[in-house]
Amino acid sequence: MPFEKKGYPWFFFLRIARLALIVFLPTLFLMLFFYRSSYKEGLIDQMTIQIKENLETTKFTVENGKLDWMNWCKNLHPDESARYSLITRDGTILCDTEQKKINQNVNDKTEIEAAFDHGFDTAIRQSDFFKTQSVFAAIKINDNLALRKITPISSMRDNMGRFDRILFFRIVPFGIISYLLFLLFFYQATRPLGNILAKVEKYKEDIPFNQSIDFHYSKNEWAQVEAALNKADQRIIDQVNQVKSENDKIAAILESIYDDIIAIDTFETVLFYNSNFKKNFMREKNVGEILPKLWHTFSDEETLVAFRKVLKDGTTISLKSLNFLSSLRPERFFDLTVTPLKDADGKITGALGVLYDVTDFKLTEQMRVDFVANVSHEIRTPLTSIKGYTQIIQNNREKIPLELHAFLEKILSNTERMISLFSDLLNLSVIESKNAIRFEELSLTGLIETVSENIKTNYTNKSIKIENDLKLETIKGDQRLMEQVISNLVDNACKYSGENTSVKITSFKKNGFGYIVIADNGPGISKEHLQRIFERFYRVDSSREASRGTGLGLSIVKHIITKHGGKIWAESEDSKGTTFVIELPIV
Amino acid sequence: MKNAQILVIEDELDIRDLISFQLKSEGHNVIAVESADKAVSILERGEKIDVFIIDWMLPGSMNGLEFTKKLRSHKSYKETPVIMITALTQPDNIVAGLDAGADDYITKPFDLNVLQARVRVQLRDAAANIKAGGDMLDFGLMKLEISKCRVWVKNEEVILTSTEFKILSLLAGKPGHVFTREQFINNIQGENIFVTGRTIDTHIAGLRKKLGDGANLIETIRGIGYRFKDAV
Repeated sequence: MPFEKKGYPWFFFLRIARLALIVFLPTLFLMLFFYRSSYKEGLIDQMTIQIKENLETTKFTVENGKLDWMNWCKNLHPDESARYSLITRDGTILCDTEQKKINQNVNDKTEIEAAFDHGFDTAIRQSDFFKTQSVFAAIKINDNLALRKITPISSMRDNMGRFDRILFFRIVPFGIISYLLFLLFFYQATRPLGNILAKVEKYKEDIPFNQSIDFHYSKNEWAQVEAALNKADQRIIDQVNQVKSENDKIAAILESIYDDIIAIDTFETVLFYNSNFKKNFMREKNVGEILPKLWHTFSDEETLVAFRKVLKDGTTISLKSLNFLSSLRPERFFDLTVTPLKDADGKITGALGVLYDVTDFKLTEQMRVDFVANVSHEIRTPLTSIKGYTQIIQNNREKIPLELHAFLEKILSNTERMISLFSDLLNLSVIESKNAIRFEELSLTGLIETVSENIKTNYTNKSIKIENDLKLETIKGDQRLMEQVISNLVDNACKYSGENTSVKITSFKKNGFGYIVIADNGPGISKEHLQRIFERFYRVDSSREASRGTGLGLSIVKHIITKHGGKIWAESEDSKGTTFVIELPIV
Repeated sequence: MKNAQILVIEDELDIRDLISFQLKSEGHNVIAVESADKAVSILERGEKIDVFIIDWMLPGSMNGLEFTKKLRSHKSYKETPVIMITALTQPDNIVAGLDAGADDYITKPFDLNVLQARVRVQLRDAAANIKAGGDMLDFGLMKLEISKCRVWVKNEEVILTSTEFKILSLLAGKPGHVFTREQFINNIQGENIFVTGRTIDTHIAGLRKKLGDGANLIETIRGIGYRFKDAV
């Protein structure tokens, strides 16, 4: 469609059309005027030449025919198309085709004087006789006589009329067509503006009238464009400011975080680091660099490998207690978490490393472990003496009064209790301070059978059967710790089981987890206790007091399972036994 | 075996006296010193020692572990039984002690009667179990014929795989000696037999099943290894 109404800047088009008309019309008229004038001049020139030829022919004829000028003149008849006069040097008309002009003096007429001087001359002026513009031509006959012919210009009126018709019917339509073509071309050339205006359209709403826009032009498309551009400009400035302020906020947040933070892109170019990171990891020579690389900051292989793995696999990696020996003195330890940076489509665009300084924690932890080890040694030594010497007395009990024998037993049993309590506490402390589990593949079958065999020997008087149904045969974990878990749970199960009952151990795989279930036929545990049995020193009831342990066994079990990334819980119906369920992730 | 010569190295006076008193009351001859350096000077005198009882943590230039290692490279004492006494009860520490060459260990605070029994086991010559011909090990409940790889429990023959038999004969060959997983691997690894730390447990579980009542002779020491219990 050549003319689209909507969106096209018609107001602008009309202005241009008007302007073009103002320039075009006068030009056309001026042109026509000059054409016409030139044509008319040409006609007059032609006429003058004809008159001159005519006069010269007349002069030649009269002089060759030895005719008398006066006679020739008197024989001329008055004519509407021309008037002849014989004029003397002093300007007196001797003879004239117009009788009443004879004897009049015309010495003021320029063509007469010039004709005597040069032989021929013309002039164009209003003729009193013909009452119109006429050509006055004079030719010298002799020193005292000149012949003048006056020809009215109206004789070329026909020619001019024809010329005017040509101008009107050919040039004017041509001009109009040119003008319309100009408008068409202009429209076509400016059509893309429609698209721009359509875009401006959406800015038009709620455009506040900018003071730079003259109100009179506010209807004008260009005013709208300007307003829209102003609006867009303002919006861009607003948005840039907003982004800037958001960036500042984020930067301020990142700066205020105690952790050391670094972000890299997929080419391992450092995109960002906070001042804590700069302080701890950036080498001085790389600080000013525009795009430092990751390997300019970390030199140890483990860290670089972690970042590269995250960039490749898109998984999060956590490393504990990294020691950046080479770059930091005194020695510092950091936990490092590397997470992938992803765009909206989930494509990996970089990685973010967060380093948490655990030096203090590590030192405290080391002090704690050392303390436990020292206490362990220091307490064991006197306990050994107490137990040993009491045993010596017991071995020689015949030497002490009979009524003291029971007290001796009390000393021994309490010493034993203190020893196991202490041993469990130490155990728990060691497990708690373990940073990482040594995962190896374990034969669950072997482990459970070995532990069962061992424990059975402690309960031979109860004739307890241990039944195994192991569908999951191997697990991953720390051999010694898992042995302790199974041992503690099986021992508990046997301890609370009645005579001639059985303890059932099953293992299976379900939903990506491995399960080990240990069930006894003991008295069971009521609901209010069930939640709390894994707490340290928590005791269920006095009925269990009879075979009391340290109160730490289940805490130790829970700690070990948690360290393995698993869960443990107990299920029990009152008086119908207790079932312990271990859930381990299959690594 | 009475009147054995026992060298006790223990830095704590009370415990040294305790052990000495108990062992002397059993009729043994006890030499008790407080450091490895003192022990070295006694050994240099060429004393004949039947059992060493060594505390792990000792003052002076050498601790118990280092002293044990030294003993194991000494021509006169490399076979002498060593019982390690340790306050370090973590399995890692105990395994390190056993791998250094100790035969058995006992953790503080120990039971005097247990210590005494352990000493008794170490003093009993393994050869005492060997019947005529030198090829039969007889523990009453269980009998082994080493050259023919045959085992009887309560006079009924039990069929074992070659790996199981090797494990059993290693244990039974040194009653009272605690074998760590490392030691099993070093001793039985060979032609057609490939074991790793965790397969040992599987083999022993299988072995115990087959041995029935004899299974009790193999004692599991949690987190550390296995020991053959000689009925004393």
